[in-house]
Amino acid sequence: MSSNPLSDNNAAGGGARGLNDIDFLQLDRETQIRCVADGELPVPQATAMAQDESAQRGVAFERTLRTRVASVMSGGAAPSELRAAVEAMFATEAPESQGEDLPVRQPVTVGPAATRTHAFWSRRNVLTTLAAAAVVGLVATVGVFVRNATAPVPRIAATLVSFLEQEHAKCSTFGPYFDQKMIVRNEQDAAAYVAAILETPISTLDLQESGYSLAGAGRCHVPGDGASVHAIYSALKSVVKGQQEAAPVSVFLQVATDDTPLFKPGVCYEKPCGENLADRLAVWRSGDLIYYIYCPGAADGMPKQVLRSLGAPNGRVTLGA
Amino acid sequence: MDRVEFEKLALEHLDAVHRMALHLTHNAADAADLVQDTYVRALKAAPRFQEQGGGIRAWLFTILHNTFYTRMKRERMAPMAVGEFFAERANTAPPGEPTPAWDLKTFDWEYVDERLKAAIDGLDPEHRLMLLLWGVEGMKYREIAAIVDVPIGTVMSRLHRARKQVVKSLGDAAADLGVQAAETSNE
Repeated sequence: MSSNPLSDNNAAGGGARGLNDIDFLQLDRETQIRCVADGELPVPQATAMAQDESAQRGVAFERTLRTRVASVMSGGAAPSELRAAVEAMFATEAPESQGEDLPVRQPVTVGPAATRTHAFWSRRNVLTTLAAAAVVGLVATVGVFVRNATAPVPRIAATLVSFLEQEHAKCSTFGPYFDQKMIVRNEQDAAAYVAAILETPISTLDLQESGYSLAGAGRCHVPGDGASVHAIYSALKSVVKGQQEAAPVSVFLQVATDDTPLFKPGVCYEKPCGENLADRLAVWRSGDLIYYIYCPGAADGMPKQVLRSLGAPNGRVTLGA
Repeated sequence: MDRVEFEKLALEHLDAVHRMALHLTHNAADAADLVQDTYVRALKAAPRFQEQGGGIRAWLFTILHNTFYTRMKRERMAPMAVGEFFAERANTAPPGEPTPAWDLKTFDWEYVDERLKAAIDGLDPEHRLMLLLWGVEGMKYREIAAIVDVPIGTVMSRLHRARKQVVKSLGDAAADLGVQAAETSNE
Protein backbone atom coordinates (compact mmCIF):
# COMPACT_ATOMS: atom_id res chain seq x y z
CA MET A 1 0.00 0.00 0.00
CA SER A 2 2.96 2.28 -0.11
CA SER A 3 1.77 3.69 -3.42
CA ASN A 4 -1.68 4.45 -2.16
CA PRO A 5 -2.30 8.10 -2.95
CA LEU A 6 -4.70 8.36 -0.05
CA SER A 7 -2.31 7.16 2.58
CA ASP A 8 -1.51 9.58 5.37
CA ASN A 9 2.06 9.81 4.23
CA ASN A 10 1.18 10.82 0.72
CA ALA A 11 -1.44 13.29 1.78
CA ALA A 12 0.31 14.50 4.86
CA GLY A 13 0.14 18.08 5.87
CA GLY A 14 -3.08 18.35 7.74
CA GLY A 15 -6.55 19.32 6.74
CA ALA A 16 -5.58 22.59 5.16
CA ARG A 17 -4.36 20.93 2.02
CA GLY A 18 -6.86 20.20 -0.70
CA LEU A 19 -7.51 17.61 -3.32
CA ASN A 20 -5.16 19.38 -5.65
CA ASP A 21 -2.38 17.84 -3.63
CA ILE A 22 -3.55 14.38 -4.63
CA ASP A 23 -3.00 12.98 -8.05
CA PHE A 24 -6.51 12.22 -9.19
CA LEU A 25 -5.40 9.73 -11.79
CA GLN A 26 -3.78 7.62 -9.11
CA LEU A 27 -7.05 7.15 -7.28
CA ASP A 28 -8.95 3.96 -7.85
CA ARG A 29 -12.11 4.24 -9.88
CA GLU A 30 -14.42 3.90 -6.92
CA THR A 31 -12.79 6.81 -5.17
CA GLN A 32 -12.83 8.87 -8.35
CA ILE A 33 -16.57 8.34 -8.64
CA ARG A 34 -17.11 9.36 -5.04
CA CYS A 35 -15.03 12.47 -5.50
CA VAL A 36 -17.13 13.42 -8.50
CA ALA A 37 -20.34 12.74 -6.62
CA ASP A 38 -19.13 14.88 -3.73
CA GLY A 39 -18.17 17.76 -5.99
CA GLU A 40 -14.61 17.50 -4.83
CA LEU A 41 -13.00 17.12 -8.21
CA PRO A 42 -11.60 19.79 -10.49
CA VAL A 43 -14.01 20.46 -13.33
CA PRO A 44 -11.95 18.89 -16.17
CA GLN A 45 -11.76 15.51 -14.49
CA ALA A 46 -15.40 15.60 -13.52
CA THR A 47 -16.39 16.48 -17.07
CA ALA A 48 -14.36 13.62 -18.45
CA MET A 49 -16.15 11.16 -16.16
CA ALA A 50 -19.50 12.50 -17.24
CA GLN A 51 -19.05 10.68 -20.52
CA ASP A 52 -18.97 7.36 -18.70
CA GLU A 53 -22.44 5.93 -18.22
CA SER A 54 -21.53 3.46 -15.50
CA ALA A 55 -19.65 6.18 -13.66
CA GLN A 56 -22.75 8.33 -13.85
CA ARG A 57 -24.77 5.56 -12.20
CA GLY A 58 -22.24 5.46 -9.44
CA VAL A 59 -22.33 9.21 -9.03
CA ALA A 60 -26.12 9.19 -8.86
CA PHE A 61 -26.06 6.42 -6.29
CA GLU A 62 -23.53 8.21 -4.09
CA ARG A 63 -25.48 11.42 -4.22
CA THR A 64 -28.65 9.62 -3.30
CA LEU A 65 -26.84 7.93 -0.46
CA ARG A 66 -25.67 11.28 0.84
CA THR A 67 -29.20 12.66 0.64
CA ARG A 68 -30.56 9.65 2.52
CA VAL A 69 -27.91 9.87 5.20
CA ALA A 70 -28.92 13.48 5.72
CA SER A 71 -32.58 12.56 5.76
CA VAL A 72 -32.24 9.67 8.19
CA MET A 73 -29.77 11.23 10.60
CA SER A 74 -30.83 14.88 10.63
CA GLY A 75 -33.88 14.91 12.82
CA GLY A 76 -34.31 16.36 16.23
CA ALA A 77 -33.72 19.67 17.90
CA ALA A 78 -31.71 19.99 21.08
CA PRO A 79 -33.87 19.49 24.20
CA SER A 80 -35.25 22.74 25.53
CA GLU A 81 -33.65 22.16 28.94
CA LEU A 82 -30.25 21.77 27.33
CA ARG A 83 -30.73 24.96 25.42
CA ALA A 84 -31.79 26.67 28.62
CA ALA A 85 -28.73 25.34 30.42
CA VAL A 86 -26.38 26.59 27.70
CA GLU A 87 -28.09 29.96 27.61
CA ALA A 88 -27.82 30.17 31.38
CA MET A 89 -24.15 29.32 31.10
CA PHE A 90 -23.66 32.12 28.61
CA ALA A 91 -25.59 34.53 30.76
CA THR A 92 -23.57 33.86 33.86
CA GLU A 93 -20.17 33.09 32.44
CA ALA A 94 -17.27 35.04 33.89
CA PRO A 95 -15.63 37.70 31.75
CA GLU A 96 -13.69 36.35 28.84
CA SER A 97 -10.14 35.40 29.56
CA GLN A 98 -7.54 36.10 26.99
CA GLY A 99 -4.89 33.73 25.79
CA GLU A 100 -6.34 30.41 26.87
CA ASP A 101 -5.35 27.51 24.73
CA LEU A 102 -7.86 25.22 23.16
CA PRO A 103 -8.85 22.64 24.09
CA VAL A 104 -7.89 23.10 27.72
CA ARG A 105 -11.14 22.89 29.54
CA GLN A 106 -11.97 25.53 32.06
CA PRO A 107 -14.88 24.99 34.40
CA VAL A 108 -17.65 27.50 34.37
CA THR A 109 -16.88 30.04 37.02
CA VAL A 110 -20.08 31.89 37.35
CA GLY A 111 -20.72 34.98 39.40
CA PRO A 112 -18.56 35.91 42.33
CA ALA A 113 -16.05 33.53 43.77
CA ALA A 114 -17.59 30.98 46.09
CA THR A 115 -16.29 32.50 49.25
CA ARG A 116 -18.15 33.72 52.25
CA THR A 117 -19.44 37.23 52.02
CA HIS A 118 -19.86 37.75 55.72
CA ALA A 119 -17.89 36.94 58.82
CA PHE A 120 -18.75 33.61 60.34
CA TRP A 121 -18.72 35.06 63.82
CA SER A 122 -20.95 37.99 63.00
CA ARG A 123 -23.64 38.56 65.60
CA ARG A 124 -26.37 37.47 63.25
CA ASN A 125 -24.59 34.24 62.46
CA VAL A 126 -23.89 33.44 66.06
CA LEU A 127 -27.53 33.89 66.93
CA THR A 128 -28.61 31.90 63.93
CA THR A 129 -26.19 29.14 64.70
CA LEU A 130 -27.20 28.97 68.34
CA ALA A 131 -30.86 28.95 67.38
CA ALA A 132 -30.22 26.25 64.82
CA ALA A 133 -28.28 24.23 67.36
CA ALA A 134 -31.18 24.51 69.79
CA VAL A 135 -33.59 23.34 67.13
CA VAL A 136 -31.36 20.46 66.19
CA GLY A 137 -31.03 19.48 69.82
CA LEU A 138 -34.78 19.52 70.18
CA VAL A 139 -35.24 17.56 67.01
CA ALA A 140 -32.66 15.06 68.11
CA THR A 141 -34.44 14.66 71.42
CA VAL A 142 -37.91 14.12 70.10
CA GLY A 143 -36.92 12.66 66.76
CA VAL A 144 -37.66 9.14 65.89
CA PHE A 145 -34.62 6.92 66.00
CA VAL A 146 -35.46 3.48 64.90
CA ARG A 147 -32.76 0.88 64.82
CA ASN A 148 -33.53 -2.42 63.17
CA ALA A 149 -37.05 -1.32 62.48
CA THR A 150 -39.59 -4.04 62.02
CA ALA A 151 -41.13 -2.24 59.07
CA PRO A 152 -39.84 -3.19 55.60
CA VAL A 153 -36.50 -1.55 55.05
CA PRO A 154 -35.46 -0.38 51.61
CA ARG A 155 -32.40 -2.03 50.26
CA ILE A 156 -29.66 0.29 49.12
CA ALA A 157 -27.70 -1.65 46.55
CA ALA A 158 -24.03 -2.18 47.26
CA THR A 159 -23.25 -0.99 43.75
CA LEU A 160 -25.01 2.27 44.46
CA VAL A 161 -23.12 2.80 47.71
CA SER A 162 -19.87 1.93 45.97
CA PHE A 163 -20.63 4.39 43.18
CA LEU A 164 -21.31 7.20 45.63
CA GLU A 165 -18.14 6.43 47.57
CA GLN A 166 -16.05 6.44 44.45
CA GLU A 167 -17.52 9.62 43.02
CA HIS A 168 -16.97 11.36 46.31
CA ALA A 169 -13.40 10.09 46.50
CA LYS A 170 -12.61 11.16 42.95
CA CYS A 171 -14.05 14.64 43.37
CA SER A 172 -12.84 15.36 46.89
CA THR A 173 -9.25 15.60 45.71
CA PHE A 174 -10.34 18.64 43.70
CA GLY A 175 -8.12 17.55 40.82
CA PRO A 176 -8.77 17.18 37.09
CA TYR A 177 -11.80 14.94 37.61
CA PHE A 178 -13.37 17.57 39.78
CA ASP A 179 -12.52 20.27 37.22
CA GLN A 180 -14.12 18.25 34.48
CA LYS A 181 -17.26 17.29 36.30
CA MET A 182 -18.13 20.23 38.49
CA ILE A 183 -18.97 22.98 36.06
CA VAL A 184 -20.82 25.26 38.45
CA ARG A 185 -19.08 26.76 41.43
CA ASN A 186 -21.43 28.79 43.60
CA GLU A 187 -24.69 28.21 45.41
CA GLN A 188 -26.86 30.63 43.50
CA ASP A 189 -26.02 29.29 40.07
CA ALA A 190 -25.85 25.73 41.30
CA ALA A 191 -29.49 25.87 42.38
CA ALA A 192 -30.58 26.98 38.92
CA TYR A 193 -28.30 24.51 37.20
CA VAL A 194 -29.44 21.60 39.33
CA ALA A 195 -33.08 22.56 38.91
CA ALA A 196 -32.62 22.61 35.14
CA ILE A 197 -31.10 19.14 35.07
CA LEU A 198 -33.56 17.59 37.50
CA GLU A 199 -36.47 19.56 36.09
CA THR A 200 -37.67 20.41 39.55
CA PRO A 201 -37.00 23.38 41.82
CA ILE A 202 -34.48 22.89 44.61
CA SER A 203 -35.17 24.60 47.91
CA THR A 204 -31.56 25.02 48.92
CA LEU A 205 -28.06 23.85 48.26
CA ASP A 206 -26.57 26.25 50.78
CA LEU A 207 -24.72 24.61 53.66
CA GLN A 208 -22.93 27.72 54.88
CA GLU A 209 -24.69 27.58 58.20
CA SER A 210 -23.59 24.02 58.58
CA GLY A 211 -20.00 25.04 58.09
CA TYR A 212 -19.61 24.05 54.45
CA SER A 213 -19.35 26.00 51.24
CA LEU A 214 -20.13 24.64 47.81
CA ALA A 215 -17.00 23.66 45.93
CA GLY A 216 -18.77 22.58 42.76
CA ALA A 217 -21.78 20.94 41.21
CA GLY A 218 -22.20 18.97 38.03
CA ARG A 219 -24.21 16.33 36.32
CA CYS A 220 -23.73 12.81 37.61
CA HIS A 221 -24.85 9.34 36.66
CA VAL A 222 -26.08 7.83 39.89
CA PRO A 223 -27.23 4.28 39.13
CA GLY A 224 -30.89 4.26 38.21
CA ASP A 225 -33.03 5.76 35.51
CA GLY A 226 -33.52 9.22 37.03
CA ALA A 227 -31.38 12.20 36.12
CA SER A 228 -28.92 13.08 38.84
CA VAL A 229 -26.44 15.69 39.98
CA HIS A 230 -23.56 15.75 42.40
CA ALA A 231 -22.58 18.70 44.57
CA ILE A 232 -19.52 18.64 46.77
CA TYR A 233 -18.85 20.94 49.71
CA SER A 234 -15.67 21.95 51.44
CA ALA A 235 -15.59 22.61 55.15
CA LEU A 236 -15.17 26.24 55.98
CA LYS A 237 -11.98 27.07 57.80
CA SER A 238 -12.29 26.11 61.39
CA VAL A 239 -12.51 29.11 63.65
CA VAL A 240 -11.23 27.08 66.55
CA LYS A 241 -7.49 27.21 66.62
CA GLY A 242 -5.95 23.79 66.25
CA GLN A 243 -9.21 22.13 65.35
CA GLN A 244 -8.94 19.82 62.36
CA GLU A 245 -10.86 20.85 59.31
CA ALA A 246 -13.73 18.53 58.43
CA ALA A 247 -13.62 16.44 55.26
CA PRO A 248 -15.65 17.44 52.19
CA VAL A 249 -19.26 16.30 52.02
CA SER A 250 -21.09 15.17 48.90
CA VAL A 251 -24.74 15.66 48.08
CA PHE A 252 -26.22 13.58 45.28
CA LEU A 253 -29.72 14.34 44.03
CA GLN A 254 -31.61 12.00 41.78
CA VAL A 255 -35.06 12.09 40.27
CA ALA A 256 -37.08 9.18 41.65
CA THR A 257 -38.37 6.66 39.14
CA ASP A 258 -40.06 3.31 39.22
CA ASP A 259 -36.78 1.58 39.99
CA THR A 260 -36.09 3.73 43.04
CA PRO A 261 -36.05 1.84 46.35
CA LEU A 262 -39.14 2.41 48.46
CA PHE A 263 -37.91 5.05 50.85
CA LYS A 264 -40.61 5.75 53.36
CA PRO A 265 -41.67 9.40 53.38
CA GLY A 266 -40.59 11.26 56.50
CA VAL A 267 -37.68 8.93 57.20
CA CYS A 268 -33.99 9.58 56.75
CA TYR A 269 -32.03 6.36 56.36
CA GLU A 270 -28.45 6.28 57.52
CA LYS A 271 -25.98 3.62 56.54
CA PRO A 272 -22.39 3.13 57.73
CA CYS A 273 -20.06 2.63 54.80
CA GLY A 274 -16.56 3.21 53.59
CA GLU A 275 -13.39 1.74 54.95
CA ASN A 276 -13.87 0.46 58.48
CA LEU A 277 -17.43 1.76 58.23
CA ALA A 278 -16.13 5.14 59.29
CA ASP A 279 -18.17 7.02 56.70
CA ARG A 280 -21.87 7.63 56.68
CA LEU A 281 -24.47 7.71 53.92
CA ALA A 282 -27.82 9.36 54.53
CA VAL A 283 -30.71 8.81 52.14
CA TRP A 284 -34.22 10.14 52.04
CA ARG A 285 -36.96 10.93 49.63
CA SER A 286 -38.46 14.39 49.30
CA GLY A 287 -41.19 14.62 46.70
CA ASP A 288 -39.80 13.34 43.44
CA LEU A 289 -36.20 13.62 44.53
CA ILE A 290 -33.90 11.24 46.33
CA TYR A 291 -31.18 12.79 48.46
CA TYR A 292 -27.94 10.90 49.02
CA ILE A 293 -25.52 12.57 51.42
CA TYR A 294 -22.06 11.10 51.73
CA CYS A 295 -20.04 12.19 54.71
CA PRO A 296 -16.62 10.70 55.42
CA GLY A 297 -15.41 10.26 58.96
CA ALA A 298 -18.84 10.44 60.49
CA ALA A 299 -18.93 7.14 62.34
CA ASP A 300 -20.89 8.78 65.12
CA GLY A 301 -23.59 9.86 62.73
CA MET A 302 -24.19 12.32 59.97
CA PRO A 303 -23.73 15.96 61.02
CA LYS A 304 -27.25 16.90 61.97
CA GLN A 305 -26.81 20.47 60.90
CA VAL A 306 -26.11 19.31 57.37
CA LEU A 307 -29.21 17.15 57.33
CA ARG A 308 -31.29 19.97 58.69
CA SER A 309 -29.99 22.46 56.16
CA LEU A 310 -30.95 20.11 53.35
CA GLY A 311 -34.38 19.48 54.78
CA ALA A 312 -33.92 15.87 55.85
CA PRO A 313 -36.97 14.39 57.54
CA ASN A 314 -36.92 13.92 61.29
CA GLY A 315 -37.47 10.19 61.28
CA ARG A 316 -34.29 8.15 61.41
CA VAL A 317 -33.63 4.56 60.46
CA THR A 318 -30.13 3.19 60.70
CA LEU A 319 -29.48 0.50 58.16
CA GLY A 320 -27.01 -2.31 58.63
CA ALA A 321 -23.63 -2.03 57.02
CA MET B 1 -16.86 39.45 16.63
CA ASP B 2 -18.26 40.70 19.91
CA ARG B 3 -19.51 38.42 22.61
CA VAL B 4 -23.21 38.97 21.97
CA GLU B 5 -22.82 38.07 18.33
CA PHE B 6 -20.67 35.11 19.20
CA GLU B 7 -23.26 33.73 21.62
CA LYS B 8 -26.04 34.27 19.11
CA LEU B 9 -24.17 32.41 16.38
CA ALA B 10 -23.06 29.64 18.71
CA LEU B 11 -26.61 29.03 19.87
CA GLU B 12 -27.83 28.87 16.29
CA HIS B 13 -25.77 25.72 15.88
CA LEU B 14 -26.86 24.08 19.13
CA ASP B 15 -29.18 21.66 17.34
CA ALA B 16 -26.41 20.50 15.01
CA VAL B 17 -23.89 20.18 17.82
CA HIS B 18 -26.36 18.27 19.96
CA ARG B 19 -27.29 16.02 17.06
CA MET B 20 -23.66 15.17 16.49
CA ALA B 21 -23.07 14.61 20.20
CA LEU B 22 -26.03 12.28 20.33
CA HIS B 23 -24.76 10.30 17.35
CA LEU B 24 -21.33 10.03 18.91
CA THR B 25 -22.36 9.05 22.41
CA HIS B 26 -25.60 7.18 21.71
CA ASN B 27 -26.80 8.42 25.07
CA ALA B 28 -28.95 11.46 25.78
CA ALA B 29 -27.34 12.31 29.11
CA ASP B 30 -23.81 11.91 27.80
CA ALA B 31 -24.71 13.96 24.75
CA ALA B 32 -26.04 16.77 26.93
CA ASP B 33 -22.84 16.68 29.00
CA LEU B 34 -20.74 16.74 25.88
CA VAL B 35 -22.64 19.67 24.42
CA GLN B 36 -22.32 21.67 27.62
CA ASP B 37 -18.61 20.97 27.82
CA THR B 38 -18.28 22.01 24.20
CA TYR B 39 -20.02 25.31 24.79
CA VAL B 40 -18.10 25.99 27.98
CA ARG B 41 -14.87 25.54 26.08
CA ALA B 42 -16.13 27.55 23.15
CA LEU B 43 -17.08 30.45 25.33
CA LYS B 44 -13.79 30.40 27.17
CA ALA B 45 -11.88 30.37 23.93
CA ALA B 46 -14.18 32.83 22.18
CA PRO B 47 -11.65 35.68 22.26
CA ARG B 48 -9.38 33.52 20.14
CA PHE B 49 -12.03 32.59 17.62
CA GLN B 50 -11.33 33.95 14.19
CA GLU B 51 -13.66 33.67 11.27
CA GLN B 52 -12.20 31.09 8.93
CA GLY B 53 -13.44 28.57 6.46
CA GLY B 54 -16.43 26.77 7.94
CA GLY B 55 -17.08 29.54 10.45
CA ILE B 56 -18.29 29.02 13.95
CA ARG B 57 -20.11 25.81 13.13
CA ALA B 58 -16.91 24.05 12.06
CA TRP B 59 -15.16 25.50 15.08
CA LEU B 60 -17.82 24.11 17.43
CA PHE B 61 -17.52 20.71 15.77
CA THR B 62 -13.77 20.86 16.27
CA ILE B 63 -14.22 21.47 19.98
CA LEU B 64 -16.88 18.78 20.16
CA HIS B 65 -14.59 16.29 18.45
CA ASN B 66 -11.64 17.13 20.70
CA THR B 67 -13.75 17.01 23.83
CA PHE B 68 -15.26 13.68 22.89
CA TYR B 69 -11.91 12.06 22.18
CA THR B 70 -10.30 13.57 25.24
CA ARG B 71 -13.03 11.91 27.25
CA MET B 72 -12.64 8.64 25.45
CA LYS B 73 -8.93 8.60 26.08
CA ARG B 74 -9.36 9.50 29.70
CA GLU B 75 -11.92 6.82 30.20
CA ARG B 76 -9.75 4.40 28.30
CA MET B 77 -12.55 3.79 25.91
CA ALA B 78 -10.55 3.98 22.73
CA PRO B 79 -9.97 0.38 21.72
CA MET B 80 -10.11 1.20 18.02
CA ALA B 81 -6.43 1.80 17.52
CA VAL B 82 -5.63 -1.61 16.12
CA GLY B 83 -8.68 -1.73 13.88
CA GLU B 84 -7.99 1.76 12.70
CA PHE B 85 -4.40 0.86 11.96
CA PHE B 86 -5.41 -1.91 9.62
CA ALA B 87 -8.37 -0.02 8.22
CA GLU B 88 -6.13 2.83 7.13
CA ARG B 89 -4.03 0.37 5.23
CA ALA B 90 -6.99 -1.12 3.41
CA ASN B 91 -8.55 2.07 2.17
CA THR B 92 -8.61 1.28 -1.49
CA ALA B 93 -10.14 -1.67 -3.18
CA PRO B 94 -7.58 -4.30 -4.08
CA PRO B 95 -7.46 -5.14 -7.77
CA GLY B 96 -10.35 -7.35 -8.74
CA GLU B 97 -12.47 -6.59 -5.72
CA PRO B 98 -16.06 -5.94 -6.74
CA THR B 99 -17.15 -2.35 -6.41
CA PRO B 100 -20.50 -1.60 -4.78
CA ALA B 101 -23.83 -2.22 -6.37
CA TRP B 102 -24.45 1.15 -7.92
CA ASP B 103 -27.90 0.71 -9.28
CA LEU B 104 -30.60 2.91 -7.85
CA LYS B 105 -33.32 0.81 -9.39
CA THR B 106 -32.56 -2.02 -7.02
CA PHE B 107 -32.85 0.07 -3.87
CA ASP B 108 -36.15 0.88 -2.29
CA TRP B 109 -34.95 3.60 0.04
CA GLU B 110 -38.17 3.84 1.94
CA TYR B 111 -37.59 0.37 3.27
CA VAL B 112 -33.92 0.61 3.97
CA ASP B 113 -33.84 3.84 5.96
CA GLU B 114 -33.99 2.04 9.28
CA ARG B 115 -31.23 -0.28 8.19
CA LEU B 116 -29.26 2.70 6.98
CA LYS B 117 -29.55 4.31 10.37
CA ALA B 118 -28.53 1.09 12.08
CA ALA B 119 -25.57 0.74 9.74
CA ILE B 120 -24.38 4.27 10.50
CA ASP B 121 -24.87 3.75 14.22
CA GLY B 122 -22.79 0.61 13.90
CA LEU B 123 -19.77 2.45 12.56
CA ASP B 124 -16.98 3.28 14.99
CA PRO B 125 -17.23 6.86 16.26
CA GLU B 126 -14.51 8.31 14.06
CA HIS B 127 -16.00 6.93 10.85
CA ARG B 128 -19.49 7.84 12.03
CA LEU B 129 -18.38 11.39 12.73
CA MET B 130 -16.90 11.77 9.28
CA LEU B 131 -19.90 10.26 7.57
CA LEU B 132 -22.22 12.62 9.42
CA LEU B 133 -20.10 15.69 8.77
CA TRP B 134 -20.16 14.71 5.12
CA GLY B 135 -23.77 13.56 4.84
CA VAL B 136 -25.73 15.59 7.35
CA GLU B 137 -23.66 18.73 7.61
CA GLY B 138 -22.75 18.73 3.93
CA MET B 139 -19.11 19.54 4.57
CA LYS B 140 -16.28 19.36 2.10
CA TYR B 141 -13.35 17.04 2.64
CA ARG B 142 -11.05 19.90 3.58
CA GLU B 143 -13.52 21.17 6.19
CA ILE B 144 -13.77 17.72 7.73
CA ALA B 145 -10.01 17.40 7.66
CA ALA B 146 -9.67 20.67 9.55
CA ILE B 147 -12.20 19.62 12.17
CA VAL B 148 -10.70 16.21 12.80
CA ASP B 149 -7.16 17.48 12.25
CA VAL B 150 -6.09 14.77 9.86
CA PRO B 151 -4.81 14.92 6.29
CA ILE B 152 -7.42 15.14 3.59
CA GLY B 153 -6.39 11.71 2.33
CA THR B 154 -7.35 10.23 5.66
CA VAL B 155 -10.75 11.86 5.41
CA MET B 156 -11.23 10.34 1.99
CA SER B 157 -10.13 6.92 3.09
CA ARG B 158 -12.30 6.92 6.19
CA LEU B 159 -15.29 8.19 4.25
CA HIS B 160 -14.62 5.54 1.67
CA ARG B 161 -14.58 2.85 4.30
CA ALA B 162 -17.65 4.18 6.08
CA ARG B 163 -19.68 4.40 2.91
CA LYS B 164 -18.58 1.02 1.81
CA GLN B 165 -19.65 -0.51 5.08
CA VAL B 166 -22.99 1.26 4.99
CA VAL B 167 -23.66 0.25 1.41
CA LYS B 168 -22.83 -3.33 2.24
CA SER B 169 -25.42 -3.21 5.01
CA LEU B 170 -27.93 -1.75 2.61
CA GLY B 171 -27.22 -4.53 0.19
CA ASP B 172 -27.94 -7.04 2.92
CA ALA B 173 -31.07 -5.13 3.85
CA ALA B 174 -32.24 -5.04 0.31
CA ALA B 175 -31.77 -8.76 0.04
CA ASP B 176 -33.65 -9.28 3.30
CA LEU B 177 -36.50 -7.27 1.93
CA GLY B 178 -36.61 -9.20 -1.31
CA VAL B 179 -35.02 -6.41 -3.26
CA GLN B 180 -32.27 -7.75 -5.36
CA ALA B 181 -29.09 -5.77 -5.38
CA ALA B 182 -27.47 -5.29 -8.72
CA GLU B 183 -24.37 -7.11 -9.65
CA THR B 184 -21.40 -4.91 -10.05
CA SER B 185 -21.26 -3.43 -13.47
CA ASN B 186 -19.05 -0.46 -13.74
CA GLU B 187 -16.55 -1.76 -16.16
